[in-house]
Amino acid sequence: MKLFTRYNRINLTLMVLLFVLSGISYYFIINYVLIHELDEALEDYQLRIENYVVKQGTLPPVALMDETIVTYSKLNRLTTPIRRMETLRRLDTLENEWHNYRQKTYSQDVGGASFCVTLAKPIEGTKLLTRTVVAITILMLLVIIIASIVLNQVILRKLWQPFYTSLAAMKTFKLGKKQVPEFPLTNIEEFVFMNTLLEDTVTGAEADYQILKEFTENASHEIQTPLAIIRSKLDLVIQEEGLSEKQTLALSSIYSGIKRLTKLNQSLLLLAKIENHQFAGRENVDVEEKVNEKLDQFQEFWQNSKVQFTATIKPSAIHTNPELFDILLSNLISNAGRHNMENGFIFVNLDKNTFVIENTGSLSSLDSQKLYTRFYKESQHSQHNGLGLSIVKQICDQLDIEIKYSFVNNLHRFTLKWD
Amino acid sequence: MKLLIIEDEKDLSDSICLYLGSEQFSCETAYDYHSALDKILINEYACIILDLTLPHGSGLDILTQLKLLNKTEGVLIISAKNSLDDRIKGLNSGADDYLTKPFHLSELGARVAAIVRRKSFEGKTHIVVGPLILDLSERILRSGDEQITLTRKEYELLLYLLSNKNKVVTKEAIVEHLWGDDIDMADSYDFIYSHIKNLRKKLMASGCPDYIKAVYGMGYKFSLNNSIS
Repeated sequence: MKLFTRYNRINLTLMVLLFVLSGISYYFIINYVLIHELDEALEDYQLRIENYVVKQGTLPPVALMDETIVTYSKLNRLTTPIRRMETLRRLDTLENEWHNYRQKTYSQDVGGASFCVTLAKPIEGTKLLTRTVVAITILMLLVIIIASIVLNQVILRKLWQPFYTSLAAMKTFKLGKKQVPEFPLTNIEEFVFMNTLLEDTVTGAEADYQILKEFTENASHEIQTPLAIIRSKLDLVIQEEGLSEKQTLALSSIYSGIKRLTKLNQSLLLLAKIENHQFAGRENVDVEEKVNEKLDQFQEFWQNSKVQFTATIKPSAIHTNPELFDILLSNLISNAGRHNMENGFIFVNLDKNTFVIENTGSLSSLDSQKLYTRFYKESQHSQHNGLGLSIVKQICDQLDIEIKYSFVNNLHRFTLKWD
Repeated sequence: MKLLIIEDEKDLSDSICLYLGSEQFSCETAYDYHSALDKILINEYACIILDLTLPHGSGLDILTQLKLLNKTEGVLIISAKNSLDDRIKGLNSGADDYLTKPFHLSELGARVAAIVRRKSFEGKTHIVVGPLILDLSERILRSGDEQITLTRKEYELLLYLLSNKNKVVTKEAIVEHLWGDDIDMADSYDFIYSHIKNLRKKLMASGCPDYIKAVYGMGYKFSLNNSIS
């Protein structure tokens, strides 16, 4: 829900409540005033009757044309004097309808006799009053709703504009692109505060990220030299005559450890470089030729581990960075062989803008959530460093190639798509 | 023939010296930019092995100096930087080859041998091994008048072993040399056995002794000494 909508809802509910309440109180106040007027008129009437009685000694005759209905009735002398004012419904004999009347009843002594005088006046206009009040309330409500909608649409939107522009600017921000988003200039204090805060955070994050990346790159570089020393010393040690079998085994373990470390280091370095956008050059690459070359390179390894492969290759081209694209294909193709099983299969399909590689292997789908995260391994004791697919993903992101993993018919399938 | 190793890591420099030093090569070392320049001014080398990051200067500047001095020494760069850009920069500055650290000494040996062959005055295109002649320009192996047909891989394998003769070469190094670095088959190098076996058969069929020795658990050695004795 948008802030406007939320605000509007609360605002309107309050408004409606307020107007209904004020309508009701208007009604009662006006009603009260009206009745008060009627009462005063009835008091007047009573005064006039009393005056008449004093002057004439009899009750005045009942005037039929008068709106006020006057009735007299004789009372027992013993009854206590009556004095009451009330609202009641009476049948209007003229219109034959029930109407609300304000009625005053009191006892009047006329020459020793006691009479009960009833003065009734119709409460007119209350219906009209109610209608008017309701109509006015509804009208005002409508006006307020329309006004607030217009106000929100025009003014609020304009007021919040810098906020939305800032949001849009943040949306385009990606760590590692070395681009701090541009926030709109505004003189509203809150937005200025927010923008400064965002800018500081983004700049800080970017700086930290750069430091981290440089660290990875420098660390990887620094590791190369000691690795080179270790490997060169090993190469010398194996030249010695008469190494024992135990020594040989230990040496070959050291060799493979060094190899893994070297690979890991190179992979980390490659990732750092991709993130640094150090592969900017673009060329037209003949994908058909490239794939054939790779398959040619790998098939001997596959034959050795009894993996069969079928390839359907059609002409295809891409305008991309040749170095990265080469690594991308190598990683995917070598993965298909490495994570395969004995007597397994590899299917390669190259079309104009798609490259699909499928392979047999583990019988369950890979975790597509973690697939591309660094150091993700299917099994912990794996010889591989778990960086291959993160490199693949990074390259795809960098080269605007869409990559998809699926597990169909016990085949692990990677699909590359490009424009 | 003399080799110059310009590398500030003494340990690495020593290893290279020990490995490459033989009856054919004598090695000299320089650990910084200035001593390297001094040595270059005075001596002629068959090949210079050059690290790019040196104390007091850059390896690339040494390349520039060589050019200015009209020196034609072959230069092999060894560097921790492995991107294509760095390679291209090094090669464009006049280096003959570029090798990324960490490397196998046997790979270094093969590269140095190739540079030395290319740079030598007679433009040496033949390697004589006992009764055999490996013709590098035509990429064939001859035994007298007889020609021994080798597959591309067998040819490269033989050349690699010959460039590191009398040295144990690991299977790992052979695979990296023949199939490239990105083929990452950590699991097993056994498949190169069949290539070795075929090459050995062909060599022995043409009447030469069994030069290629298997070194248990490690790799292979093209051993001339033993066969001669």
